[in-house]
Amino acid sequence: MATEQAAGEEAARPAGSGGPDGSTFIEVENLGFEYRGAERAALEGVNLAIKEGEFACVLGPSGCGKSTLLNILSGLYTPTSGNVRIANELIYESGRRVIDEPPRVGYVFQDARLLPWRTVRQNLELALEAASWPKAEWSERIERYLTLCGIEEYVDAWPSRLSGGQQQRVSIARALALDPMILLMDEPFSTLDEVTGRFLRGELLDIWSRTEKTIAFITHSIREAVFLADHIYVMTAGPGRILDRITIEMPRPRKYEDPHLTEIEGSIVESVLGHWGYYDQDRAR
Amino acid sequence: MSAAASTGTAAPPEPPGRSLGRRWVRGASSRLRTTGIPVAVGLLTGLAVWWLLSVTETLEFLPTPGAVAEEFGEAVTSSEFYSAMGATLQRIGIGWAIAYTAAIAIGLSMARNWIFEAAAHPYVFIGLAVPAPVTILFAVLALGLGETTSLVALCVVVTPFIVTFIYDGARAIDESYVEMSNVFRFSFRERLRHVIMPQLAPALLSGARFGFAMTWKIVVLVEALSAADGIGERLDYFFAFNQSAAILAWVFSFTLIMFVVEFAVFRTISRRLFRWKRATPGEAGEPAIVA
Repeated sequence: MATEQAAGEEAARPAGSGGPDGSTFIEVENLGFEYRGAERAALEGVNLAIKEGEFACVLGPSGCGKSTLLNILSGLYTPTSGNVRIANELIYESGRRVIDEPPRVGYVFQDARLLPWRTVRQNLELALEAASWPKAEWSERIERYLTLCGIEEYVDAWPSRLSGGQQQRVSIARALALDPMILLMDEPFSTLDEVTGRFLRGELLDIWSRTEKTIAFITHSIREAVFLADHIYVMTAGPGRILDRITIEMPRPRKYEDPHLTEIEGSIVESVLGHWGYYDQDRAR
Repeated sequence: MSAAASTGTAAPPEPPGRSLGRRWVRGASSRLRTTGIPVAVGLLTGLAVWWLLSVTETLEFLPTPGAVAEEFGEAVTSSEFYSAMGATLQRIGIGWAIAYTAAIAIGLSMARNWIFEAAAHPYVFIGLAVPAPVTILFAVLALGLGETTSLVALCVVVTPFIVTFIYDGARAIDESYVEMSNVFRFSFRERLRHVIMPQLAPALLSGARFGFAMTWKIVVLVEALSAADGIGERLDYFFAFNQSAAILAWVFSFTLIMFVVEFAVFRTISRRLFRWKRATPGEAGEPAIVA
């Protein structure tokens, strides 16, 4: 049911944005970013090629520039160097923005970041209004996406009445209701308790398969990345760059407790340990 | 009452709207029952002490409660009282509006711009520190007696206090919501209306409230020192003719009106603005719907 609705929206995407064969949808070339006055670049020579409909996890230790990368993709920051192309459209060229209106993205923050003085419905309406959705469609879209995220009964509640997990569902519904070209998620489950987090991860995969969105998901949890991703882009800090692109070939649906998943997790831990600084600390001792 | 008693404790659940209303009434009446007695005892004790001090002439100037009540009755039935009250209220209204507007402009500019902040800070500090009568007397010296003098003095005294409220409120704006509004590309108007203003609202409201309370306290002083009409001018007149019962009666009635404004206007606005704050988890059972 939801798949049909999603399929209807596919038509709204610009032509040549890559077909079901999965041509590159988000292309990042040699991207660099420096905060003003910082000694070291936050990002340097970052390359990414994410296919349409892909679930991409960007994995890295804290402070490696993961969030900076996401902020560039969302249009909040302008990179200092490099190119970004989304759906074959050049957004940044050599560190300059080349289009006025960057493509619409849905963003899910680490905290739900719903305006506490507006109800759930009003929070979604504001996002729809900002994305220039015609008013006549608001109520239908709000209902559809809150239902998709399993939170429709709280449409008229104040966010503070909801639990952390419920708030994050609303936040995901808000991002999806805009019909974004890409869904950017910045450690959205890291502040939730373990059980809620697991449950929501499973639901996110379900939502993803129904809406067929391209997702760029940031996490520092290797297990979370292995469970969710088609491909994991492993980052390292100082300056932030991409170390490796790991393809997770485990069939879906996956189980969080699957021993095979633990195996993959173990091998990734093995390969990133040196880069994330633990070996160096050991040697120093 | 008897119906409720006959059904006992196993009464069927009431519809949420009604039960909410009833619960509130029940809560209010039980609050009155618990605090009502001590409040009444306190007030009656005060009245008794006042009466004793006045009839025994321990404090010579002190009129009896009866004399004040009589003056009060005379005051609120005289046109003199209402014309004085009108003049004072107008002064409060204009003075408060100017001070509040100026304070918002100054407070927000200080919070947004460090150069302006550095330049304005000493003046705010001086404004807070200088005693009000000094400011009023200087205004009279500089501008002579008259309406302009009263308003200028009022604004100069009150504005710095409101500035501190606005400035602190503007500094406390949570940038993470602003960031969210950027990611979702809110327009300037949307951002102001739905992200900035709700965060400023508590400071704007307390600034308005506090500013109003200060204005009506200071206005009496200003009028006594520099105006040709108003409550303050009357009090000064009664003082000159040693009519202490009239002073107390007029002060009571004036205070009563300010109290009504405070409750009717500011409490209502506050309740409307902060509905969302009362809807915190924990008060389970009630529907979350407010609109």
